[in-house]
Amino acid sequence: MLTVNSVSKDFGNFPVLQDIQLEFSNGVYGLLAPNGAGKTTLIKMLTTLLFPTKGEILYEGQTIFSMGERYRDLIGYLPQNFGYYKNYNPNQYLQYLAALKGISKQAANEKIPQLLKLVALEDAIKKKMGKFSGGMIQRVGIAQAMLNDPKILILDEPTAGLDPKERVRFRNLLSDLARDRIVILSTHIVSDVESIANEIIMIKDKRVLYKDSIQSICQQLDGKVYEIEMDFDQVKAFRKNFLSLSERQDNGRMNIRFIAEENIRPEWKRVKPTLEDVFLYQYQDKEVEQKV
Amino acid sequence: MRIIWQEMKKIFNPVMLLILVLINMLMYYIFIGFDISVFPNGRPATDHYHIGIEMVEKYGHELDEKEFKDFKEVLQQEIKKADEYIQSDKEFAELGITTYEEYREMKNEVVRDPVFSQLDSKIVFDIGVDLFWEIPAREDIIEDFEFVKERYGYGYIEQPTEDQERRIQEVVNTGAVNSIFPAYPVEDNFHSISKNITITILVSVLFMISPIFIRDYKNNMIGLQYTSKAGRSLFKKKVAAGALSAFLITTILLVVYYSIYATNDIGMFLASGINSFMGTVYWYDFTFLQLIILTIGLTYVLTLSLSLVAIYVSSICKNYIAIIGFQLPIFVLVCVLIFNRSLLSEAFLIYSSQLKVAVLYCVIIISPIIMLIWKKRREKNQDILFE
Repeated sequence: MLTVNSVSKDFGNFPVLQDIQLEFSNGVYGLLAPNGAGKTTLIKMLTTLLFPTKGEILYEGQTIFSMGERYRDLIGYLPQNFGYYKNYNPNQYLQYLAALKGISKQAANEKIPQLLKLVALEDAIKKKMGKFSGGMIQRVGIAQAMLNDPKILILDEPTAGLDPKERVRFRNLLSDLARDRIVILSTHIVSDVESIANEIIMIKDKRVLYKDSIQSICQQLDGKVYEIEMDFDQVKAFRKNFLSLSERQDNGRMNIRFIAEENIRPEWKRVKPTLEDVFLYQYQDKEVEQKV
Repeated sequence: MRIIWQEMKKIFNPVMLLILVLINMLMYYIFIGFDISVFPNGRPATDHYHIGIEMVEKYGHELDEKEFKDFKEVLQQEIKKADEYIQSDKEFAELGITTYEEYREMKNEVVRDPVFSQLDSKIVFDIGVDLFWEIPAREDIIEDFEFVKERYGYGYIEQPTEDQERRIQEVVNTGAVNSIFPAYPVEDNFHSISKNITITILVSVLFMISPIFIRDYKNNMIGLQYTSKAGRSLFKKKVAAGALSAFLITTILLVVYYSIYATNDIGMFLASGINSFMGTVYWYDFTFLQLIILTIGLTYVLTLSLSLVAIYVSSICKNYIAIIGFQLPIFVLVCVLIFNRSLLSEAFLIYSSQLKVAVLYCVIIISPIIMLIWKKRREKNQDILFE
């Protein structure tokens, strides 16, 4: 069990996170918030890069900072913009990281080909990473995060650069891995977590807004999400009064999905709210908030 | 150890190694090559060098009174040969010169006969008759030995301190001064080449070691490195990898350059004491070999200390311009200290304050160690910010 206990983090006099209270057990957790909300700061504290200004982070009852390398031995981390050496091939790169992770040479020699196969890079094992596409680099990053068979897998924007097929493969992989470990997946792409996360954590105004199942989070918008068809010339006026969640053209007319809390009209078709609806609702601009 | 080895592999990447070779070729061509290709550097240096070899072969590494008499006898034989040469030469006959003594007197005149000057120039420089170079060289050596009690050591210090006076007398009275060691050109050549070798190695080490931290920072590796099991202890391992690499680079370059230096054929003087009547006074009674070993040791101290400074600077800088900005003044300062005879073998000459040398080396050794300990302690409790 990983516990974040009343953690706050300030940079100078600027608070980034306040009184964060979280608990993680085995499963996938989607850390969902727009850019700049403090996701990466929270992750950096979970990976011991940053010290909390207040509070503590515990693993099985021990503070992770006092555990030191015992704790870091348990984590696999894929940073948002992770680095690599252009003149290294994936094998050299993973051998280097295996050394840093304290994995024996023999174990690394066995594990690296398996991981590269898992991320479909077995044919590129001798190619210089400087010549890799963004997706290939990201797959090497995923492989390195799993190199030490971590009990806590922390992934910051892991699907950036992956094509749809790779994303699906990656999600399936995470679902398999999460059976016996904690997987924390930080993203602002709702679809990344929608299908695999057991729980979603949303951060807003420096605090945890939700930590709940997708179903429970979506319930708060029950009866507030609607769809309507209208002519193009009506759309502009409609947008002024309602928070539009999505708009698509359909047979020469516009199909709009929106949120309304009052003055509900009979022609509106009530629909089941999704996580994306909640995300857009919670992180809307202040100006739009007034419309709702 | 695996982490240190991996870090060293990053330091010795092929592109950097290729540039290192090019830097060394350039430095050799500009600085070191001269002391190899022109040694002993014309005349009379060549004559002093050859006479030195002859003396060591004949008398061993020290000259006693009996051997000195023999050496003077050799001079007389040379003068006789010079007399015979002069007497067989028509141009000398036309000038009325029949002996080497007369030739020397005319040469020492304040206002010279232009015809004599022309002949002298022809004999000495155009034809390069060995006798006319060797005799003055031998006379210089004899003069140095005869007046050792009066002159030795004082040529370099106008007003010796009590300690300097005591040291000069000690070298003279113990007989250490009788060592056969042609300071000019052997010692001068060694001082010059050892300085240039040290500076070349310093440039090489700084070039190879400086990117040690900034390479990872620039490549966005910090996040992965500091969240691995190694974590913040990686700093210590990187320092070890940097120091070990600096040691390796220094050793390889020392072997290469001192092997090239060995082609100067100075082997017969290795066992000679450096406090010779033919040269200068040092504070310590070393042989030439010991002086070379000491200089090599000091080169290690300088390169390792500066490599630690480079590691520290690399760990605090965010770009290569900042690294150059920090390192350049330090490197220039060290070069100035080397060239003003404060750091390498010349630092042990009688006119160098040994207290100053000791203080300088203490600062050079202790400063980078303090910097790195401070950085390590700070990092232990500091956020790792890399974006």
